[in-house]
Amino acid sequence: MKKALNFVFSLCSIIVMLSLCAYAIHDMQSAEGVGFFFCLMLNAPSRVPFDIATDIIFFALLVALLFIPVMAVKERSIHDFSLFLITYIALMPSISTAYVLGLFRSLDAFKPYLDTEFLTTEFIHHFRIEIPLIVLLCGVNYVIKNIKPEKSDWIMMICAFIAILVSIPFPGLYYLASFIASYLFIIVLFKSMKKLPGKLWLLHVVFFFTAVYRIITVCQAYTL
Amino acid sequence: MKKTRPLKVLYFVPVIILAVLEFLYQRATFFVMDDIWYQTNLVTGQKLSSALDVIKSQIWHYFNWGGRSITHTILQFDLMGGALFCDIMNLLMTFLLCIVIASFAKERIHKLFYFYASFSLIISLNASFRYNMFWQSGAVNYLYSTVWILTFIKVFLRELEDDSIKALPGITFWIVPLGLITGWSNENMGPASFILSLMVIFLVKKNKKYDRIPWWMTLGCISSLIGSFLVIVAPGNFVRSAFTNNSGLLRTIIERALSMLTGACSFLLPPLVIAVTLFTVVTMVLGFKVSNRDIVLIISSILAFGAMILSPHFPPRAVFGIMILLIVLILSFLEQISERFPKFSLISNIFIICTYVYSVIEMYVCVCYYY
Repeated sequence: MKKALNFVFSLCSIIVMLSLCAYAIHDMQSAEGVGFFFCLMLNAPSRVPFDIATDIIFFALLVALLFIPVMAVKERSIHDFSLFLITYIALMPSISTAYVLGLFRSLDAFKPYLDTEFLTTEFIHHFRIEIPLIVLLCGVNYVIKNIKPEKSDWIMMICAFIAILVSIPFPGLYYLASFIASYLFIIVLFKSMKKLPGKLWLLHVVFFFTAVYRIITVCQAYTL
Repeated sequence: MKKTRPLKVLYFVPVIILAVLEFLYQRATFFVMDDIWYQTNLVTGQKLSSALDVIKSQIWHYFNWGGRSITHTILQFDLMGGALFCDIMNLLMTFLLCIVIASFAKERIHKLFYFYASFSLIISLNASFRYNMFWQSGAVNYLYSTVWILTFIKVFLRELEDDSIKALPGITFWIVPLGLITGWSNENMGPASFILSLMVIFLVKKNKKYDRIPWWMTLGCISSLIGSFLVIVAPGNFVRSAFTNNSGLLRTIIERALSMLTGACSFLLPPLVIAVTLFTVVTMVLGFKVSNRDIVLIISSILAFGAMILSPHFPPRAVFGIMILLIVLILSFLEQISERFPKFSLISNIFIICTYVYSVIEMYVCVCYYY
């Protein structure tokens, strides 16, 4: 009975979250005109097919980002997917679709320059929840359950810090670096949460509401 | 004694570094917005020149703008002292708040850790430190008021900590003004403190700690109720609320629900996530029984947060008091885990170092921006 309920809750949260994400992606990309850009480039009579295609591509990218870490861990379940999905939406910095397009359109982002204004607190804001939470959960796993962090966790953490360091001389890559670093931190966080099965439900509730709030704010920003 | 000295230095050096950065940022923050208004006699519009001006201003303020007379009186006196005086006072109040938080440590040897940890957590978990610690009007309304609110809370909660604890000297006399200014400070933390005192009285009676509830507890509870009443029913609140847009009931409900969601999921998210994680570890992973003191603190923070639904505006700075209650809970949970698993104290220190590094970078960036 408990397992069935767990399954239903996980499935419902996945459906709700993915639908909201699809809506937010559509809102963002149609307002920023990513599909419209391709429509103008090709002199097409209607932007609708381009908008739909862009929606599908970005949504597929999101689903891939969500699936890869869940598939990589042992003993995966639908509950794990819902947990990762909720944590991802709650903590990941949102990245603009126009910014992603811009990375492919020009090499401006890859030009190194010294921008003193770049060193803003915005950058470290992304890491004020994730890193302390990883420290606490890995600490609990290590001290109480005697489970050491895996080698892959260390590698991901180092890669995340490298991503942060790389973006210092390349401020144009800030959003991308911030996104990659946050993504890696969240995978480590997810893995450490998985080691405390069924215990952190209250934290998941907080993350669920945060995820809903974040999607609402993204939609609010792009709805006229 | 000699053995502990290097450890003390390890805690004090980072505190001093952060304090210097905070002071530099205080110096760089000018009087703006409300500060300019409160520098004047609110009745005549002339610059404040005496205590009488402050009293006249606050009487006008109570009837025409809002009920926070205690904090605004202190604010006006502060502003009369000038910028340097305000900056020194703000830093002293930050220290004082950390000392009050440190008094929540169960063991004497943990007090220094509490002090150091709270000093960095106040910045790192803060949704709007610029507006509740550095902007003068915000500092008095939130930072200063939290000092006496938390003192009031501590005085009551120590009754739940230990059965052999003795009453504080002269408490029957000073609890009345303390309770009054606690209730009269803030629309959400004041009533929450009153309910907290009521809960403590109930628990003390239930545990049969005393034959009769001590006078000071009853007086403290009543005075905080009077204070809360005075801040809420101030005629100025109704004058002020007339300026806000009166939207329909459904729209108001949606707007308030959204502002509460923003409060919990944005402004309070860092302390909330950490407190919830540690609460889960303490209760569900380790199976500890949560102490009455922590239960009362949890209920008070929920009530203080819930009270915000009545407010038409929910700015990020308004969660300061709730954040402080969550910081006390976070430190209490860390202490409990470390007591059972001494190895965990290293993890606690690494966790605090992370938050400290964040605070230093944040302060350093703010200071660099201004100088």
